[in-house]
Amino acid sequence: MALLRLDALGPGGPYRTQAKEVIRDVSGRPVAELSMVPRLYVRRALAALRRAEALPPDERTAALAEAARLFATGTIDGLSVERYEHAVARVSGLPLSVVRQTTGTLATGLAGAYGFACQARPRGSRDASTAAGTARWIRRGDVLSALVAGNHPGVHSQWVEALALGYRLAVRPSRREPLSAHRLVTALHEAGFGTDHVVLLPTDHSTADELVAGGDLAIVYGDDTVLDKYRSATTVLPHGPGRVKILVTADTDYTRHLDTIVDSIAAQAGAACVNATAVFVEGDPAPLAEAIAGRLATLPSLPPEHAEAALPVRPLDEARNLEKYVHSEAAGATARLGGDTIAADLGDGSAVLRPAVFQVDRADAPQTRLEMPFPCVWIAPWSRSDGLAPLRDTLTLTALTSDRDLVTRLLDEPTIRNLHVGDHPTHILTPGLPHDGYLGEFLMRSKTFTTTEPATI
Amino acid sequence: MAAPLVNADALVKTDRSRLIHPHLPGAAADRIIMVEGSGCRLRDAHGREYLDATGGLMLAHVGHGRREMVEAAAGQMGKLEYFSSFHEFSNEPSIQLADRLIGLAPAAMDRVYFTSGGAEAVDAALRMARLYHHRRGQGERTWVLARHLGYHGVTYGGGAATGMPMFHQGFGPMMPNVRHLTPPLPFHPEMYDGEDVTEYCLRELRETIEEIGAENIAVMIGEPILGVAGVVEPPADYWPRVRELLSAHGILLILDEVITAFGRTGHWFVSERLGVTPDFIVTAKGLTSGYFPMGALLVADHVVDVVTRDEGVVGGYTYSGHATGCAVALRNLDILEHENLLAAATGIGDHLGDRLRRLEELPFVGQVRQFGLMLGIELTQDPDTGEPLSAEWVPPLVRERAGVIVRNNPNTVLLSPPLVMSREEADRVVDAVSDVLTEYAAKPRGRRSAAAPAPSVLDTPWDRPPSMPDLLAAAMDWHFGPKTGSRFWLERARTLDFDPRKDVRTEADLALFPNVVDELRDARVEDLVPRGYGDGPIPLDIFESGGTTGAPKRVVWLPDLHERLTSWHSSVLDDRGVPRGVNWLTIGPSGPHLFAPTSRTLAHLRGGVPFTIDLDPRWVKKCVAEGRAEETKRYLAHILDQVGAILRSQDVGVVFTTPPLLEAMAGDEELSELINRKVRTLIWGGSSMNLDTRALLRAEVFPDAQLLGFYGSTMVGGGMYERAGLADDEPSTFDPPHPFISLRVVDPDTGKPVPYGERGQVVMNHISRSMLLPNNLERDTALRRPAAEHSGGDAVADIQPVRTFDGTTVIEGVY
Repeated sequence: MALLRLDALGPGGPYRTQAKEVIRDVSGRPVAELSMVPRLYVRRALAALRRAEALPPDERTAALAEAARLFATGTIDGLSVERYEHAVARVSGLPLSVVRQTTGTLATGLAGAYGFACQARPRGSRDASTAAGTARWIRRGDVLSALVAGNHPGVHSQWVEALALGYRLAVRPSRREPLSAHRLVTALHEAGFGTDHVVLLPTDHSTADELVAGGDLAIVYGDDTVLDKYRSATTVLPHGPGRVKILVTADTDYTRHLDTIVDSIAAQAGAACVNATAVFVEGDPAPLAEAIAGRLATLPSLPPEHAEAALPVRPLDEARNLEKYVHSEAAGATARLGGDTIAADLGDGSAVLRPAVFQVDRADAPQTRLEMPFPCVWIAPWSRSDGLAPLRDTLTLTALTSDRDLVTRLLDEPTIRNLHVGDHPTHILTPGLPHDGYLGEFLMRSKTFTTTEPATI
Repeated sequence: MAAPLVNADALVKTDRSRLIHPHLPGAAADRIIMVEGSGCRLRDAHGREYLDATGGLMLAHVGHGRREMVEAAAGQMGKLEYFSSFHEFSNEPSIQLADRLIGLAPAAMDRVYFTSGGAEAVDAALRMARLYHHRRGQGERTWVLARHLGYHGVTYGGGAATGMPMFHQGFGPMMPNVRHLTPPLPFHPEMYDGEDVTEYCLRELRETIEEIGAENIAVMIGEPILGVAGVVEPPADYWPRVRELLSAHGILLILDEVITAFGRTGHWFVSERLGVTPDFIVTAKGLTSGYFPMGALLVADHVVDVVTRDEGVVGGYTYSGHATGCAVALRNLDILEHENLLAAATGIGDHLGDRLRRLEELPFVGQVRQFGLMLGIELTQDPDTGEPLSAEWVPPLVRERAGVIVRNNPNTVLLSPPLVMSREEADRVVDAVSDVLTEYAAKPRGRRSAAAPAPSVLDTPWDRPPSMPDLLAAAMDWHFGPKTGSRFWLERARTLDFDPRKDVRTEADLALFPNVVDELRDARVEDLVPRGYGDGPIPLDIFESGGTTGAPKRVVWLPDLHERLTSWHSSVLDDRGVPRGVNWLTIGPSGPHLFAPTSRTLAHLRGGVPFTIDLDPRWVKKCVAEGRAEETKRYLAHILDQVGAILRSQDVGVVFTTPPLLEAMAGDEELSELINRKVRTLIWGGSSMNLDTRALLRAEVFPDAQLLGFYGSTMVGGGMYERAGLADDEPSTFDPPHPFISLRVVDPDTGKPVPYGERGQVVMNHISRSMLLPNNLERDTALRRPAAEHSGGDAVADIQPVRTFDGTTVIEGVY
C-alpha cells in the first residue's frame, strides 16, 4: 500500500510540512507520513479558531450526523472504511474486530453528540428568556484544545461533544495512531464544519504545551505525571490511567460472574481505560486467579488484521520491553499466567501481548495500580479491614456484592467515578450516562439571564 | 574564502620574472592573478573575490563564466576550429555573423571585415579609407584627422590616431599625416575661449581642412562618445555637423565604436542614436564579450563598392573570420538579445548614474557622467578652474576595502561593468566608490594625494580577507610574540606541547590548541588584551557568554575588532539588499552581550537610529530550568509590550531579534501588522530556526519583509549570515567570515570532522589581532556542509543545541 500522506488540517486546509513523522505498523513497515506543525502554526491556527463563528446549533447537529455517516461508511481521502480499519489495526495493534466495533461506536457518538453533551445540562437551564430571568447554559470559552491519546480510537467520541456545544476545536492526534483523528476531522470538514471550526494539529511534545496554553480549555490524556501537572488547573481536564477494578465480596459466588470478570479484563484487547486491571477478592483469591488465568490462556495469538484476533500486537522490541517491565514489577507476586512469557513473536517483527495474571498477597500491593495496554490483571485479597482505600482512584468499579451498606459507601466515594453493582462488565458504556463525569460539566456553566425583551434573544 | 586552487605565491614570482604587463611600472610588485569568474564576480589565486565594475577593459558584456559561450566555442572547435578567410575561403560562422551584424548596424553598412581586435580594425579602416581614395584616383588623400584624448588602440596606425601623448612619447616617429583636433568636452568650457563647444570644434575642423587641403585628407576618426577620456558625450549637434562638413569635402568618417557598440550604451550602435552615419564602424570588445579576441570593421556600401573591386582589399590578418571566434560572437549576440541586456544596461546604468551623481556634492568631484553602462567620475583640484585631480588612488582603495574593481584615467574614475550586473551589485559598487570618495573629502587636504598605507594582514578588512596561512602566520607571531601577545596566551604557551609560531600553519593545526573557554570564566580581562596594543588607555568592552549554571565566560572586545566586524556585517547586509538609512529595532540581550552592541553600531553605520529592547537571557534560562513557565510567559509579554510601543510610534526598517521572539511577534496580530507595514528586513539570530517556521514566516506572516538568519557566538566574537537563495526545504546554512572566523563540524568523541551532510558538533575558531580563540567546542550541533564558493573551512546547516554539555542539561533556544 502506498504511504498515506497525513497532512495537518489547518484553518487554511491541508498543510504539509517539512517536518514529518513516519507512522509504522506493528511490524515496522511505514504506513503513513504525518506532517508535524511548528509552534507558530499552532498559534496562528488557534487565532483563526478564535476568530471563527460557531455554526448554529441545528446546523451543527446536522453536520455531526453527516460526519458520522461519512466516517462510518464513506471513502475519505481515498481511504474506504475497510482500508481505514485495516490500517488502524495494523498501526495500533488492536484487533480488527475492536477497530470495527469502535467505528460504529464513534459514529453513534458523533451523530448523538449534541444529545449526549446535553445530558450534563442543569435541569434549571432554559433556552427561552423571560423577564423573570432564566438560567442559561453557556460555554466557558470558545476554543478547546484536545490532546488525544492513541491507545484506542474510541477516545475521539469525547471531544466531538465540545464541537456539538459550539466550541472550536484544536485536536492534537496521537503520533502512535493519528489515522482515526485525521479521518474524523476530515469527515467533519466534509460534513460542513469549517476548516476554522476544527483543526488537526500534529505536534511534538514541546509544542503540545502551546496548544494547552492557547486554548480557553483543554483536554489532555496521559499518565500520573500529566495528572499531577494539571491537577490544580481549572481550565485543563486531564485524563489519566483508568485503574479499573472489580471487587468480589465473600457473599458472592465468583464462578457465576467469571464471564463478566474475564470480559472486563480482556474485551477490547485489554487496551481500553475501562478494562479491569485489578480484582479484589474477599477471601482466598487463588481460585479466582487460576480460573481467570485458565480462561485467558485460551485466547489465540494472531496478527491484528485476523478476524479472530483478540489480543493486542506491538512491535517485537516494544512487546519484549513491556514483558520485561511487567516481570520486574511482578517481583514477589505469584504468576498465574504470563510468568514466563508475555510477548508471543509473530515472526514479522511484531508480537502479540498475551494475557498476564498475577496474584499479590495484600490489598494495598502497589501492583494493583499498574495499568498495562493488554490484558494484565492483579488479583489481590481484600478484607473489610482494608476498607475502601485500595478501591479508590478508580474510573470504574464493578462490585460483585450484595452488601448494600458497602454499595452505599462505594457510591459516595468521590474517587470512584463510575460504579456498577452486579454482573456488569467494567467496560460497559451506556449512551447518555457519564464516562468520567459528563464532559459538559467541564465545558459549560450556568448564567442567569434576565431581559425585558424575551422574544429577541 | 576557499583555499587557493593554485600556488599563488609561485605564480606571482613567475609572473614578475616572465611577463611584461601593459601599463605596469617596473617597481610594482603587486600582482592579482585572476583564476575564475562568474557574472560580475571574479576570484584571484589567493581565493579573494572581487566585484568587476570594469568589464576588464570595458567588455565582458554577458558576464564572466558563461557556460553557453564555452559550449559555443567547444562546439565550433569540434567541427572546424579555424581556416583561413583569405582569398575565396570562408566558413559558416563568419558568414552568419557578418549577416547578423549588418542586420543590426545602421542602414548604410554593407559588409564586414573581421580582425583580431579593435586596434587592428582601426588600422584596417585607415588603410581602407586611403585605398578608397586611391582607387578613385585621389591617392594624395592620405591625411587622417583625429582628436586629442581620443583612443583608438596602440597599433601603428591606431596609435598614431590616438590622441594621448603618453602613447607617442618614446616610440619614435608615429605614422605621418595625422592631425589631432580639439574634442568636444562640454564640462570644460575653459577650453573653448567662451565659444560654443560645437562652433569651436567645427571652426577648428574647417580651418584644418582649409590648412591641409581637403584634397589631401582621407578620413576623420573619432569615438562617438569619448570612452577612455572620461565618458564624454558631445553636444547633440556635434556629430551631425561634423559629418556634414566632412561629406562636403569628400572626407570619410570612421566612428570607433569599440567601446560603445553591442549594448554598452543601451544600443547596438550609438552612432545612430547620435544622428550620424559614418563610412566605417569599428567594433570589438562587446562583439564577443571577451570570450574570443576579435574585432569587426563594418563598411558602408559606397566604400565597399570601391575597395572590393579590382584586386580587392590587399592585406588581412591571420585570424580574420576565425570560425571559433565567429561562433562565440554569434552566441554572445544571442545572449545580449535574449536576456534583454541592452535594456538592462540602460536600467542599471541609470541607477548607478542617479546614485553616483550625488557625489557631485563633494568639492573635488567635478562631474559624474553616465551613458548606459559607461560612467565617469571626473575629479578636479578646483571646480572653478577645472584643474584635474589625479584619480589613480581611487581604484586600489576601492578594491582593497570593498573588493570592487574600478579603473581610472588620469583624473576620472571609470566604471563599465558587465551588462548583467544586478541592482544589488550596482549598489555595492556605488557604496564602495562613495565610501572612498566621501572619506577623502573628510580628510585634511594635505593627505589627499597620499597613497593609502598597505595594511598588514591582521588589519585587512573582513570582507577582503587574506589567506588562512597568511593570517595564521601573522596572528601566531602577534599573539605569541613576547612584546605583543597577551599575558593569557603567553602564560598558556608554556604549557603547550607545540610552538604556535612554528607549528600552526593551517586551519587544521588550530586543533592542536586546547579549548580554553572554561578558563575565560575567571581570567582577568586585562590579561586578555594583547600587549602589542600598548600601555595607553583602550576603551574595552567585555562581553559574556553563559552564566546560568556557572560563572560566565568573558571575552575582551577591542575597538578595532568592533570596527572591522561591524564593517564586515554592513557589507554583507549591503550584499543582501538590506536597506540603509532606516532605523533598527533590536530585541535581544543588551547587557554584557555582543548582540545588541553590534546591532547598535550597525544601525549607526548604516544611517539609522538604533532602538533597543533588552532581554536578560540568564533570567529566562533560569525560569525555564526551574519550570517557571508562567514567569517566562509574563516576561515575554513584557517584552512584546515594549516592541509594540516602539513599532506603534517610530519608523523601523530593520528588526534584529531571536527566533523565539520573532515567532512570538508573528503570533501577535497587532505586532505582525505593524511589522508588515513598516519593517523591510527581519534578522533573526541566536538559536535554531525550524524549517517549517521559517517557511511560514516567509510566505504567510511576513511576506513582504526580507528574512535573514544569523548564527553567531560571543565566544568567537561574531557570526555569520544565512546563505542566500535557500529553498523552503533547505535548512538555514551559514558560511563564516573565513578565515577570521572558521568552523569545523566534528564528532565530539574523536574530534574528527564528520562527513559532509552529517550532523556533528560545531567547533569555532577566531583569529584576529585583538582575539585568538581557537578550537572552541560550541554547544551546538549542525549538519556539515561544504563552504560557499570562495570561502573556506566548513559551512554549517540546521543548527540545533546539544542536549547536554559536560553532563549539564543545556537550555538553549529560549531567546
